[in-house]
Amino acid sequence: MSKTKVVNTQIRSVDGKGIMMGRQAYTDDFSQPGALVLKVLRSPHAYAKINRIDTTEALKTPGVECVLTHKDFKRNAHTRAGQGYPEPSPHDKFALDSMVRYIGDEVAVVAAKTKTIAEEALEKINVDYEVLDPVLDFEKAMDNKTLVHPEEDIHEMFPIGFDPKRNLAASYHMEVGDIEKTLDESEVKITHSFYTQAQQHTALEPHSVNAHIDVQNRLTIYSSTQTPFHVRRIIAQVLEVPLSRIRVIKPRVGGGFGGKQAIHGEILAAAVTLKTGKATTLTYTRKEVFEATYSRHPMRLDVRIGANKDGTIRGIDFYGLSDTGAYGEHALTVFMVTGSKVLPLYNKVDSVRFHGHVVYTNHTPAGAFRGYGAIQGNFALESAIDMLANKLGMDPVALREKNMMREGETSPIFSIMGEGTEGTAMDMESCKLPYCVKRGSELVDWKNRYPRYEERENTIRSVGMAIAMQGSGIPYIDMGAATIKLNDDGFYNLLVGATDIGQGSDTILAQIAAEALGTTTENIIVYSSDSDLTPFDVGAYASSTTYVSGNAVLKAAKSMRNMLLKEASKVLDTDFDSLEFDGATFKSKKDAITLKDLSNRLTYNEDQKQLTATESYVGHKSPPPFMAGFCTIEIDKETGEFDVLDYTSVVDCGVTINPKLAQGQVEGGVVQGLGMAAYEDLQYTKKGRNLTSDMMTYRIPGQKEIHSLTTEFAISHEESGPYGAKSVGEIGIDTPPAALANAVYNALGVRITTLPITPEKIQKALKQKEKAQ
Amino acid sequence: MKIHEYHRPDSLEQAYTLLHQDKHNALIGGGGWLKLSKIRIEKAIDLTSLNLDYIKEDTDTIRVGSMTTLATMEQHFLFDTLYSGMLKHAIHQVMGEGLRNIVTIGGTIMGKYPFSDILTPLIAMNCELEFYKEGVLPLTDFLNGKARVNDILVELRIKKDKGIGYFKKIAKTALDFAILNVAVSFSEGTYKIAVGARPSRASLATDAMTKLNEKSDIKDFKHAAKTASESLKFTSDFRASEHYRRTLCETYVLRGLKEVNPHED
Amino acid sequence: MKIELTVNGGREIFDVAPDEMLLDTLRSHGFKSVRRGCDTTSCGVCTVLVDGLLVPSCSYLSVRAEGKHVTTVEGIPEEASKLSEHFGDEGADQCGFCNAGIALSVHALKNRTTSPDEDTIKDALTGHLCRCTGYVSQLKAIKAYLKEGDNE
Repeated sequence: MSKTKVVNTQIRSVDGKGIMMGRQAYTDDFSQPGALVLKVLRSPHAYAKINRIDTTEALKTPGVECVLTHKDFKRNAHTRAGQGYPEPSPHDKFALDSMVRYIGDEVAVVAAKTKTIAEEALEKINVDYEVLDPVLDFEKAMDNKTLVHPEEDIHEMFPIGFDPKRNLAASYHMEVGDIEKTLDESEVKITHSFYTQAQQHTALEPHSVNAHIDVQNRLTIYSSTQTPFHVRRIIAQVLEVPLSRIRVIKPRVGGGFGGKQAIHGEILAAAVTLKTGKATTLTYTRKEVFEATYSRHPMRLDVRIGANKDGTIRGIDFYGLSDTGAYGEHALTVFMVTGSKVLPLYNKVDSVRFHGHVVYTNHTPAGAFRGYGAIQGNFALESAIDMLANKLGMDPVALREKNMMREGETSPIFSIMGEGTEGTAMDMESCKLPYCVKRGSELVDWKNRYPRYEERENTIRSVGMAIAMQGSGIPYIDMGAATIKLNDDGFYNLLVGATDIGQGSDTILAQIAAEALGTTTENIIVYSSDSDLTPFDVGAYASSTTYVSGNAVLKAAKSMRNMLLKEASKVLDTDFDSLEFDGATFKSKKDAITLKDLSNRLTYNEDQKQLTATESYVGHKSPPPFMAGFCTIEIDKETGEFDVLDYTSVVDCGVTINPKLAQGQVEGGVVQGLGMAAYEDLQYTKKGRNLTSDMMTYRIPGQKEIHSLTTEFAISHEESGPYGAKSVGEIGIDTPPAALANAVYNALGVRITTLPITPEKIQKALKQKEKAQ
Repeated sequence: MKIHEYHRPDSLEQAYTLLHQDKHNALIGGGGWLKLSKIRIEKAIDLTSLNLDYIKEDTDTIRVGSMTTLATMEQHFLFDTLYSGMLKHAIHQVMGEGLRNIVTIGGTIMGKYPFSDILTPLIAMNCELEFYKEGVLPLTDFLNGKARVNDILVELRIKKDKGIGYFKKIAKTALDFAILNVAVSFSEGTYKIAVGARPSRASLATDAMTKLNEKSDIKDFKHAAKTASESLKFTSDFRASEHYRRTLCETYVLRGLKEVNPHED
Repeated sequence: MKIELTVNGGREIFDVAPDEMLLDTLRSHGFKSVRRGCDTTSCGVCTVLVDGLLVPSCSYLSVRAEGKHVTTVEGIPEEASKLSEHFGDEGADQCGFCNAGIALSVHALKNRTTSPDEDTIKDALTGHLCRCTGYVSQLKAIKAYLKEGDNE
């Protein structure tokens, strides 16, 4: 492998300077002046029928130009989930409906000249609700006599276990071997249930969209979205407008994490713009973001593990119950990842079963969120593995080293479980998990510190760990494409559908193109995510950008390079094969021409043509990144309060296209994972209202919570990835909950199996332990 | 929050008159929380032109003007050593710098906020309030509602006691509101124990204090801490349960007492 | 009500409602770098400088800005540009939504303290939430920026 010049070097992001300097960048910055401000009326009830809705008074308000209710929309059932078509999520949502299914559900939209007028008009809309008994306990939702979706005109696109008469959005079952037999034969067993909470993305930029009609009478939408092409398709479907009449542009996005991988305000903004002909703008308040976008699927996971006394894990059984809330976006696919991107970690078992149900409730809809099920599954499995280690009297690291996935190996789960459908078999051509575990152990001095160390009067310190895997795109489904265009003066435009939501995809894709073309990123101008001007890409999810979009860029760059060589060989009148090109100059044995000169010649002077190369890529496998995470804590023995002193991550994501940006993905993921592990908790009132619907009550980790992050990358190379890269967007988030739970157990001998892990829960468990002794 | 008219009077008398003109007229302090309320104000009365932003030192008192921001107080040398810097330590933990630059001590006191991390150490010291018309009254009386005041707070007066102080805020994250906060002080042989965010407002643990401040040779810190946790009222909310708050109270009052007088015990 | 103030060194006259907040006033007059991140003064995104002091512009009445000097990040282009280079070197340049507020905080810190230690820097940044970076790379970048400033 030759050393790369641009890939795997530190490059500053292409847009960082502009953003820091305050240039117009995000969706709301591009709102048209004078656009109508939209405000959405939202249901105050968790479950209700709208018997009557009267907008007369609201419409009379001076400055109000449009009010829409369910009466203004054709009933086109769809899913808001930003996924490839046909979506593996049920089509169970209408633009506006005569039923509301959670507190925050849309009832009507007002368009007015100013925000103040729109808010006033909102209060004048008269709604006669018939309040119904909501389903708020996800453990009682299945086969409950109250149905969240009693309506007949909803459907699944293909079998996903959708059974709304049982309050099921989806269900799944797979088994390798005979799990009951395997567990029966096991000498040691662990049986436990784990609960994970609804986490909220809390991207700093609230969801925002604006729309206007352009000079060609087309609907142009700016949206803070992760999936501009899916948005275009869904709007076309719901509003019955041809796709050709819609353009969706994604500008800079202030964070997504999955929370913008689905429709938010786009349909309503588009509908009002189409009706009035006027520009509109809709930016959610932070309260709306909390109440009325999406959360992570809360789950209960019933885990059983069977092993031999020598620590060989024989079988793993996972039953999962997932709460998808009022609508089924991402219901099946998140659920499947809970198994498919966790269970293969222990690939040498005799038997493994993953099954369960995804239920509807009258909660805020759950949807995509970094980790996408893997974090929930990881918490359950990696906690249970530590429980097994404790029972066996084995070091948790040693138990994992004995059983975990290694390079060259595979798991039957890969071919069985895809994302909504069957999977794709693959061998682990790159898997440095053993190195990650070993190196991480060294970095945290596991040998000397496990289980606990430095006991003082009030406090004690400890270490805990967990391993994780994720994926790199969805094989045979996720497609990304790239176009490279040569300009006069010898620079390139790189047009990609790939969606930069802050993770730096514009930058790393430029690096890949620059590497292949022998130039620097200054010569590659990236423009992304415009449904008119850039080629297709599914969007930023499933950790697909580096691997799928990156491969498309690599292909396009190679194709462009070939085109250039062909043109240069013509100009230099020489054989294609004897030409040398260092990115700036073409040299034959006798002659040379610079790229600059060639491009000018091709543009203006002779044999003029526009060189562009467009290539696409669909993965045939989804090579997982791997990680070992180690959590060091100091904990108060009396109160249970704890501090995370350090979180150490050793990651195998193949080659890092941009080492610091990759580190940023890992560390950002780790801190978000710590948020789920310890600090974040979406809580509901008894009536189903989101209690924690602002940033004063819902707390994400801040500066002072994070003391030290140690991050290293294993030397690894994935042959099928661009320059050896795998993806890295999600892997960081998976390990913190289990690593923290394990550290707490190692410190104090109590195990918290319900997230978040709080001092109060720890203290309660300590008291119970005392009583029992 | 809606404001119909904005006024910036240049005398206390003018401000007072405006305040009493209409029950929908209101004073604006720092305005940090203004945006969050649903209040409709007829005339908003801004006190920024009344020169109430000061910190002055008398022989035995520190006088802080009601429009002094928390940031100004935090950075003032007088609070570095007063009661071991207890108040400064508490102010430092309030939100971020931006908010401390606009939140005023007057707004904090008049708001009587139950989550306040400032009121707790204040009542563990010796404080009085001076109102424009009503005159001077103890801070504790004002907080207890013993005195009802529809008046303009002019200044906070803190006695420059020689004492040792301890303040602890227990919260999920550094920016979060406290699950509980505890202030303990020891000055000239007298202990004060204040507990706030219970979730209700800061209150002195008078039963525990009485026991400690009795003239006896034996100071049972453990017993005092237990008494404090048993005599004060705690309730459950989504941040913490009553039971946990009670145990935190006992733990931290004890730790606080040990810290302010480590020789005792 | 008409208020007269200076924004980034330029004299401005704005017509504002008595309950209008500085964030909305600035944004509606073209200062797009001032953005809203939350409803509750909790995130730091909207931070601006008023007479050199950090304030959350979402909770600062525009009428109070009368006669004051307001600085947004558009007013410190060189500092922002330099700081962004350090962010880029540490990979702390992710979604960027929190950056404008942080740049102003760092600017204010630089103006009032020479060679601040890590705790002082962390204190200055406490009010700025970030969901992307995990904070450590940001801190490294800011330390490097301040050190470079010290050496000048």
